Amino acid sequence: MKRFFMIALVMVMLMAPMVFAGGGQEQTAADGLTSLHVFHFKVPWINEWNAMTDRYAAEVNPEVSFNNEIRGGGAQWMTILRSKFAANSAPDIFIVEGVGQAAQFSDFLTDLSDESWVSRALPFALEGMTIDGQVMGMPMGLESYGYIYNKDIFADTGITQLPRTFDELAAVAQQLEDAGYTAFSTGFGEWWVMGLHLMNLAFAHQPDPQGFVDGLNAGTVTMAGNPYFMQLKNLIDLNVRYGESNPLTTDNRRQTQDILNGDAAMIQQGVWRESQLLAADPDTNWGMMPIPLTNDPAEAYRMPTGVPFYWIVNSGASERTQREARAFLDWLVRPDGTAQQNFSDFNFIPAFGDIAVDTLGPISQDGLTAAAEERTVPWIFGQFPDGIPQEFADGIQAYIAGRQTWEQTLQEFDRQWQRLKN
Amino acid sequence: MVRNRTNELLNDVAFLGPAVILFTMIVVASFFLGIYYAFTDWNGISLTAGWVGLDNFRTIFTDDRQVGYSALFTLRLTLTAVVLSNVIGLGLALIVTRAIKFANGFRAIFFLPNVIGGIILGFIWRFIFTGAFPALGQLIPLEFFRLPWLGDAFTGFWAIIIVFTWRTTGYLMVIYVASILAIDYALIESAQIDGASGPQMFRNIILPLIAPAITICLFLMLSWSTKIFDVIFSLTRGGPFKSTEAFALNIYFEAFQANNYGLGSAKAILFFVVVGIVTLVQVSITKRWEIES
Repeated sequence: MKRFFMIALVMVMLMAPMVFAGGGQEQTAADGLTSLHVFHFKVPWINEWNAMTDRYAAEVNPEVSFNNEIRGGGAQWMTILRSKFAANSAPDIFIVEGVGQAAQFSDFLTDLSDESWVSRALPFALEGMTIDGQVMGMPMGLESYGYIYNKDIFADTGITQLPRTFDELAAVAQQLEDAGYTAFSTGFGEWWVMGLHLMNLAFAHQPDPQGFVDGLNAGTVTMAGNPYFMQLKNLIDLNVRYGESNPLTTDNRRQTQDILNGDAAMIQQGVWRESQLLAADPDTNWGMMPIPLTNDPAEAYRMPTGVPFYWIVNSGASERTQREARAFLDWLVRPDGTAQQNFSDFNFIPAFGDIAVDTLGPISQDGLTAAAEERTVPWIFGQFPDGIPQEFADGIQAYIAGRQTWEQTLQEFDRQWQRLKN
Repeated sequence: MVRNRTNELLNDVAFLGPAVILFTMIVVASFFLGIYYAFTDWNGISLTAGWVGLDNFRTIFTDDRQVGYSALFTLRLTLTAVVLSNVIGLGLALIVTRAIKFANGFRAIFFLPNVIGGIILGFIWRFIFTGAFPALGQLIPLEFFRLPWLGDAFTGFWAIIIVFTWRTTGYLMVIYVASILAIDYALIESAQIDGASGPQMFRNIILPLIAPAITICLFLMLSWSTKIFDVIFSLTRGGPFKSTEAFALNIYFEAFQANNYGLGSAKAILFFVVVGIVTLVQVSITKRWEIES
């Protein structure tokens, strides 16, 4: 008898791990309901997003339920997304920032070229996610970045015209310093401020940005010696010269604090900072201007504008789930009033010409104006190989710290690009 | 007789089985998978991984300067942290085992940092270094507070040492306290009667008798500080300009940021071998001068 219990106990113990291992993620509902697992990084939208998907499930398609997973900000959203794939619980709809990031998901992309929104999207917005002539992701909105500046400080200093060239920017910085202000809070402790946005300037101003990236990948061009990359040195020097003390420890929180406290007149940031600034200080007049890299105003006075992310439908999901995912994305940007509400809820500049939103804040408005006047340069950093933005940031920091010359920095960038390219 | 043996076998299987199975699934399996991936160019996501032989190891030794720097940085960090934590931990243990007031309170306070997770500690100290120190520097004319904390290689290194030592000493102190309290009081008393001075007593009586604790503490600190990750990750993320990128961070960035999972695995395997050798050597050396009391 004792032996029988012993054997039974052994069996139970042996079974236990299998039970744990078998616990699954597959949550197909029996009653004809499709669950859409959506993953994105727009944490500031979280309330509006959940309200919107509730609305969709209640009014548009009652057969769909949502499992929204919104991870971003301090969290490493890409690491989380990758671990979802590794754990076999990949989302049905997720986002990538561009073709560079999409490459690693090449087994899971769906061709969306036949969707009705394709013809309505701004052409350059589609370009960012077109692979071999196929549209592999849906753009939603545009974002732009530049120097967010405090209009009141500029007015107080007597600066009436925004700088359109690098030399004018230097003059403005000097003027601000003479008036007792610190011109910049640089953000040179934040990898993406340097590695994505600052570096993007030198790429985006190339006569043929796409050709330049292709050339780097093919090994036919180099950053070292390129005039735009050489000019970037002057911009960095200017920021350090007229910036806060200890720039290498300034993260994006500190930048925001500095401009809110009046400790800096300009920060290199983008439209995503707007809601935070307005919430903390609605009385200050905020604005955003381009970052003039060169001395030709036609070239320098342009706002870097791009599609921050694309929606991807996971080709690994079931047929029916994919169908529902496409329908949801189509609804998201349909110009019959739903899209207007969605975009104004998210304070997002639409990537579709036929959607007009008139409730944007002052910073987004400056971005939209530049886009409307076609004073933009593209976002190229979506095509940077994985790991390169961090290498860029480390190199710029080492240059600022005096560890290496700018020429050595650029040579190292070239070397790292060859190492990390896809 | 036969029946007895089956019973014993059943006992073993019943009580060891689940642990062995879980350990195999979670640790052993992933360890061998890691070894396999070290020979591939897998990016961490795609469905196929290409076999590249020893290419990853060749890259590490010939084409990756940062690996050497990270290894050296980890070595420097380990040596400094092992010495500092153990000296301070032992010092605190000697103090709180004296008949002083609030000894138990002090023990709790010294142990407290160990209870907080490394990531949280890193963020708290990040604020202290970049927020509180500059603010203090404006009030007090002390160069210490005006240093570019976390902003250059030197302060980055010492900031990590400060936080890591602060976190680990409490734990080591507890081990030393237990060991000191276990010393037979008769030995101390007879030494006192023989007229031993304080330092003599410490060197000739206490130190030899707590040698097992020293072995444990050295081993713990060695393996903790060679594998240090969370404190640095939240404090500096390896910056500025990779100057505080310890080996574990280098592996993480290679595998999950640059998406070279294969290369990252290769580094991890090398790391495992080195850490294994170092700790084995340390334990065998300190074991030798432990004595039976």
